[in-house]
Amino acid sequence: MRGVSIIGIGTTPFGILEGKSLKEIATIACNEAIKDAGIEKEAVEAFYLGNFISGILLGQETIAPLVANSLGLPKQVPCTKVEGACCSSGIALRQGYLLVAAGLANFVLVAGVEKMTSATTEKNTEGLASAFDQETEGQTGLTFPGFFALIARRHMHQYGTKIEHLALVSVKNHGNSTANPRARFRKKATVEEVMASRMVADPLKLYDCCSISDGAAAAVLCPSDIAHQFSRKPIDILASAHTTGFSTTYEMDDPTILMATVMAAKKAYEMARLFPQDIHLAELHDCFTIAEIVDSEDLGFFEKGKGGFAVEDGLTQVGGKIPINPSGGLISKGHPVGATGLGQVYEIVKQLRGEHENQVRNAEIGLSHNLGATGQVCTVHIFKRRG
Amino acid sequence: MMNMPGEERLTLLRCAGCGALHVHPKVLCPKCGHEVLLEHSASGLGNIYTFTTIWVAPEAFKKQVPYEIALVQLEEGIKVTARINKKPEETMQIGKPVKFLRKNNLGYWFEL
Repeated sequence: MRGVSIIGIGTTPFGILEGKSLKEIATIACNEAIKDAGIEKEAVEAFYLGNFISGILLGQETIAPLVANSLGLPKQVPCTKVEGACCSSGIALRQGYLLVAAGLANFVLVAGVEKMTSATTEKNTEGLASAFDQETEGQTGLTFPGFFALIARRHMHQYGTKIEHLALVSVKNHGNSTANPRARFRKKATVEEVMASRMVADPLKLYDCCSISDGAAAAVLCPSDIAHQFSRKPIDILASAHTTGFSTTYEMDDPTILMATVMAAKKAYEMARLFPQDIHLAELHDCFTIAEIVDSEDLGFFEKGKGGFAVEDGLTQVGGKIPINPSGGLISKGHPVGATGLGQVYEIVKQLRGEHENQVRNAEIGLSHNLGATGQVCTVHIFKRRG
Repeated sequence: MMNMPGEERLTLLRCAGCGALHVHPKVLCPKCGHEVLLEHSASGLGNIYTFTTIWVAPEAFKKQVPYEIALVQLEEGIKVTARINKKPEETMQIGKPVKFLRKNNLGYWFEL
């Protein structure tokens, strides 16, 4: 296997991109990534595009060749859409990584896109709920806020996590995104504002939830041994892991642990020959405040049950023991579901290049964690800058 | 034996190979791969493992808001995701006993 590096990144802002279609925003992000890599688009040998619900929300499918044609990629380039709910573009990155690592291609374009804000909240909730098993749990009217609310209540019961701990995650992430020009929300939030926001799925309130957004993000991958020819600051992918968890809540022994994350983290740390304490920053899947707490434990940053207390102690802030979601995360940067995984990678690459608006000092190693549905799908990637 | 109206029994599936219990229909036992699953009559008793009230629902459930969903820990040891038929004066709490009510197009229903 060859080493794989990122030589180019591109993105749109995340948020309400009014008047811009899915095809347009994906094209903009991909074009920016190709330019940033300093390659000609004719050099691209394969294209993977992550997307979750364009079929349901927009009636638009077959979007990988659609975007490739909009971008003007050569017709011999194989274009593949990958779907794993909110983990779709984490998987796109993983697929591109495999192709380059295996020596089957030198330059691979990976991207993610979602266009959500033109549909109603109910339509989006319905679309997102399509990731439930429709023959079992989906029948009940369970929603994703509801799924994470079930986890939150149990986490509070088992470990003494407080409702204020959840609110503090939202406050931190809103604070982080004030500096991020790509974020949907740029205003600070207070614990009082979070607690007073309207109920979505008890005990989760509006400010505990990620925001429906439009957005696209992309990256160009190539073999590590030639990456310096294209980028002054290539970012090496030290680990790429992709796992599967339970499809339904009732099958989980303990829903406060998402096994797909635990397994992906274990594989990724082994592959990178690193430990959780070696990571300088993480962009992890905070689709809800409780998810950030659970993920931070499952990734090994904190002992199970201690994630909420770690937030209270400031350990996850920029400047803390392990800065989590310095971009603002899904909660405040936004969650265009199919684009999120590569949106996280965009933020990490900026951090490791030393070019981020909310820079973690001396950041050398970063981790991204992308989760789909009920923790059915997970990818974990570890990145390192050179020198 | 026929069930009286309103007195539905909770039926699970038991794997003829490894004995594992399953709530919903399965083509085969995901635990051991055995293809024979036999009906298993359950007590219908359990308790609330965790719960939530849904205030923002998908389009098709919009008119039912707010509604309660719980993960019910059955006496038989397995869990089921279910709707809870809660009277306004009743409160949900982890550990509270619940009883199987019925199964319909919204899945399993329990009451406090």
